[in-house]
Order: sequence, then structure tokens, then C-alpha cells
Amino acid sequence: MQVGVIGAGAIARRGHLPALNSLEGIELIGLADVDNQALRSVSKRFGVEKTYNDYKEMLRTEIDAVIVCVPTQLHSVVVVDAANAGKHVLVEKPLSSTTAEAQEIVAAAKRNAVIITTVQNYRYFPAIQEMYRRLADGRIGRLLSIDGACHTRPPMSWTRGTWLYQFGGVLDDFAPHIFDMACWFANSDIADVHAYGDDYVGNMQCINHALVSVRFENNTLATTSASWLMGTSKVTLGLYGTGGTMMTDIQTNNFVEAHGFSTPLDDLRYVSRKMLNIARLGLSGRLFQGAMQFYPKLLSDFFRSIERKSPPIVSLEESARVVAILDTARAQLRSGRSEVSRPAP
Amino acid sequence: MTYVSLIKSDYTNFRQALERAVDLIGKIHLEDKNSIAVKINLCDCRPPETGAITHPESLDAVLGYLRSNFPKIPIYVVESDATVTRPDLLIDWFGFRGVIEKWNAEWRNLTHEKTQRMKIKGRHFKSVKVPTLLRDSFIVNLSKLKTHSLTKISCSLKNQYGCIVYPLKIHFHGFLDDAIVDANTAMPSNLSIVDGVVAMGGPKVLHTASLLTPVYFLWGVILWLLTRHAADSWGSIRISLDMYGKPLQLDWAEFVATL
Repeated sequence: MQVGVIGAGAIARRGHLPALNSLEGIELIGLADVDNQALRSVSKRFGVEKTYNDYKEMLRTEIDAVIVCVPTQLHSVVVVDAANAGKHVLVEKPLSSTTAEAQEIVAAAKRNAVIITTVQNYRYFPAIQEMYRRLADGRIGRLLSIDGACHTRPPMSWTRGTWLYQFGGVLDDFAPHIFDMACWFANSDIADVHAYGDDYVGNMQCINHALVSVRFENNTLATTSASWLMGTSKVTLGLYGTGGTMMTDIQTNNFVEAHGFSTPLDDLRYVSRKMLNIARLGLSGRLFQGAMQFYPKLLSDFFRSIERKSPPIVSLEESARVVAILDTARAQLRSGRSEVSRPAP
Repeated sequence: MTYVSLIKSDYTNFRQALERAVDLIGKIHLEDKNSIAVKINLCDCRPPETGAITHPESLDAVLGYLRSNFPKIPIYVVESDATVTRPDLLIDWFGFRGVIEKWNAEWRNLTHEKTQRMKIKGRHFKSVKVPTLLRDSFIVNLSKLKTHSLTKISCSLKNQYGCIVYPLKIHFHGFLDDAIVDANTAMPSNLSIVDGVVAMGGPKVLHTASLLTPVYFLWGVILWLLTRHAADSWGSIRISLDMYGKPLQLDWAEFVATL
């Protein structure tokens, strides 16, 4: 299978390109970016023969699929162009900036009969997968609530780019991962979204601290706390059911399941497991890789779904739900109105 | 001879406290320097009230004091890119730009400045890239009184380490003490002001420290099991406990007492 990458920024360099080079049967044919310097250095580093200033030129070649790593504001234009050129698309999260753009992408996928899916690498953490299995097995009964948190620094160590410091801010950074997992676990359409948040610094001119509540149509509730201001690195998710709870510290791949009253023994088990997990991750050299370690698996799944013409791991409907939450939350925060609103279907 | 003055203050009278502190150690003589560079600390993207970075109030007082004493000398406020921050953004986000403009000073990111390589007999480096601007300036080091997970304390010497123009300074953390000495050898400050009005205690300056907590703890237990060497193993365990045991902010006198 022949593949091209659009965008030579941090996520391409750290995630997609090394993963593509590690996969058998995949030919990395071309790399497109408007930045000539980035194009030269990245293509040299990863051995990409053909480079393009204009991604449309690459879309005219015989490649089967493209990976879109451009800033979110440009996703819809690039993804729709790729779909219209008959290419399958894996796009970084979130699928698009707005619900209207997501709808255009869904229509383009149907019209051109191509697979379009989103990178949601947090689903690949073994702890998250195990929680999903246990939830499906009914271990915690009926799911009532989902409680997620993503408290990180602004992504300055990650990228020197500044495109994330636009209005959505922290909502467009880690929050889409939590929103996606909430949608995945709730397995239902969104009924309402309710957002609080602001620029708590005063001069950043973007949302840096927010709380978003979602009610799904099956009545499951989800809250996400997202912040850039706590000087920490915490990404957690909790599932609360009628028969028990499951809590996870995602980055250390640690989770605990509890039923009834939580005992000190449960706490001890959680802490000791966490310590062992960190030690294990440290010894294996994966402690600081985080969710980047799952890119080879994620890409393999994408290519397999193309080969087998099977649905991708993350469906377009699921990706569009995440965009709907983001879009509604941003709209509420921009207008200063905090009333409950129903996102566009 | 090096003199040190210690003045109790808060941000409402920081300027007066600064004037008194400088009076106690003698006047500022620029000698052959024709500009002043104030090295602030923007090493982390956390609001000034946490004590993690320079407070705009202290910069306001320092610039006001310098401008009143040196009305015609160019004053630069400087910092360099670091692993987890971009000071070009932080000076706007945390209210430094207005203070800098108020005193007719100029913001300069050292990472983008012209440099000259200076040979030193360093502990780790044989040479250091020194910004020309610093070489020609009287350097005022305006640092925070706070702890650091690796060096334990982060005051003037650690702040001066931030003059190294290379952005990914985390690469030097394996030999941080030596790198700090080398940075201060190549780019020594002429006047150091430590703002301890809001001090930051606790070694969890880096989130990696909290991740390392269980590693320290486990290492302590393993050491004890293997060698029964109580001192070393207890030391490791205590480091791990300390990482959770200190409040974010301490009263400055209490902080000084803990050093």
C-alpha cells in the first residue's frame, strides 16, 4: 500500500513517520508541507523520496491513502480534497473544527466511498481497552457517569507551533481524547452539552481552564475537566455504574475496579499497581512515550480496514460526535451563554 | 567582596525594599557596560502567583528603580526558550509586556540573539554560546526563591543557567549542577535580586519528579532488601515522601528556615 503524509510538523515527526517506517508492506511515498525547511529536514530524516509544497499535487499521484497532520483549522479542506481524489484518510484528532465541516467530511466519505477515520490513540492504552471489555461484560452494571480530566501544560514542549492558542485552547488540545473515550464508553448520541470555562490568566485570549458536561441520549452523563494551568500532567478517566466503579490513570496505564464501599485495601492496590506500572514503563523505556507508543498499531488498524474494506476502529460518526461537543462548548463559551444546548446531529 | 542584604517585603513596597537592599550593599556601578539586561525567570508556563516564575510586580519595581537611576541607558528584559516554555508568549500572557513598555525597556529572547562562542574551563562544557547582548550588558539576575526537584533550590545561579540559548535545556539535566556552574562562569551576573515574596516550596517543580516518586520509593525498598543499608534506602524513601509532603507556597521566613 502506498501512503503519503500531509504536514511535516511535530505529530508527523514523532508519531506517524516513525510508525510508517516500522510497518511492513507500507510504502511511504510522499510528504507535503508548505514549509520548505521542514520538508527538507523531515524527508531526509525519514527517507521520504518525494516532497510536495502543494498537497494537491501529491493527491494526483497513485497513493492509496493519506495521513493528515495539518492544524485542525485546515482539516476539513484537506480531508475533503483527499476524499474527492479517491484517497482513504487518517486524520489527526479532532476530525474538524466545526460540526458543519464534519458533515462535509462525512458526505465526502460517502460520495467517494473512501474510509476516513481519526487518530484516537488513547483508546489503545491497555487499561482503557480492559475497562471497555469489563464495561461490556457488565462488571459495573449500567453506566451512569463518566468523569474525565486532562490537566496538562500548554503544549510548548510538544510543538513550537502556536495554532493551538486560538479561542478553543485547552479544549482543542487533550480534551478531544476524553470526549472520544466518553462517547465510546457511553455508546450513544449526544443529547446536550454544557460548558464552563474562560481565560483564567486574562491575557492568553483562549480557553485555558474548562469544565464540559455532556448528557447522552441513553442518559449517561459525562464531565470533562480540562486545564493548562495546574503545572501538572494528569489524564484520568472514571466510570461509575450501578454495580461498581472503574478508575484509571491513563498515562501510567493503571486502573482499579471497585464494588460497593471502597476499602483502604482497594486504595493500596491502586497505588501499588501504579508504582509497579511506572517502574515497569521506566525499565522498558516507554515511560515518557505515552500514547505515542500506539501509533504503529493504530496505523496497522487503519491499513487493515482499507485492505479488508471493514469499518475503521473509530467511525466517522464517533469522530463527528467529538466535534459536536467541541463546537457546542466553544460556541457557549464564546457567547458567554451557559444554557444547555443541543448539538447539531 | 560580595555583599548580601535581606529585606522583608511584599509586593506593595517591593520598590522601597529594593532601594534599601541596594543601599545596604552599595550603589550600582555600570563601569564599562553601556546597557542593562534583567534576566527574569519564565521557565514554566504557570501563573506568577504560584511562585514558579517572576512576578510582574517585582519586575515593575526593578525596572522602575533602574530607570530612575539610569534614565538614558538601554534596559533589556531577557529570557531564553526552554523545554516547556516559550517566553515570547508568556510575557504577553502573564502581563510582563505592559511593565516592560511602562519603563521604556525592551524584551529580548536570548535564543534569537546573536551569540559568540566563549571558551571556558568548565565542569562540563568547554565553550558556551554567549549572547552578545549579555556580554555588553550589566546583568541583573531577578530570580525566584523556590525549590527544584534536581537542584533542591532554584535561586540566582539556576536562573542564570536560563541564559543558555539552547532551548532544550532538559538535555543538560543529567549534569545539571555542572551546567549551572558553567553557565555562571560564562555569563556571570553583576547584581542578583531574589524575589522571595511568594516563594515556592516542594520539589515538584517538574512533573517528572512526581513520576519518579515511586521509582525513588521502590529503589529505597530494593536497596534495603539487597544491602540493608539503612541510610541510603531511607534517604531514597524520604525523597519520595517529600515530593508529596510540601505545600506549594511557603511563608518566606519559613522557607528560608527550611533551607
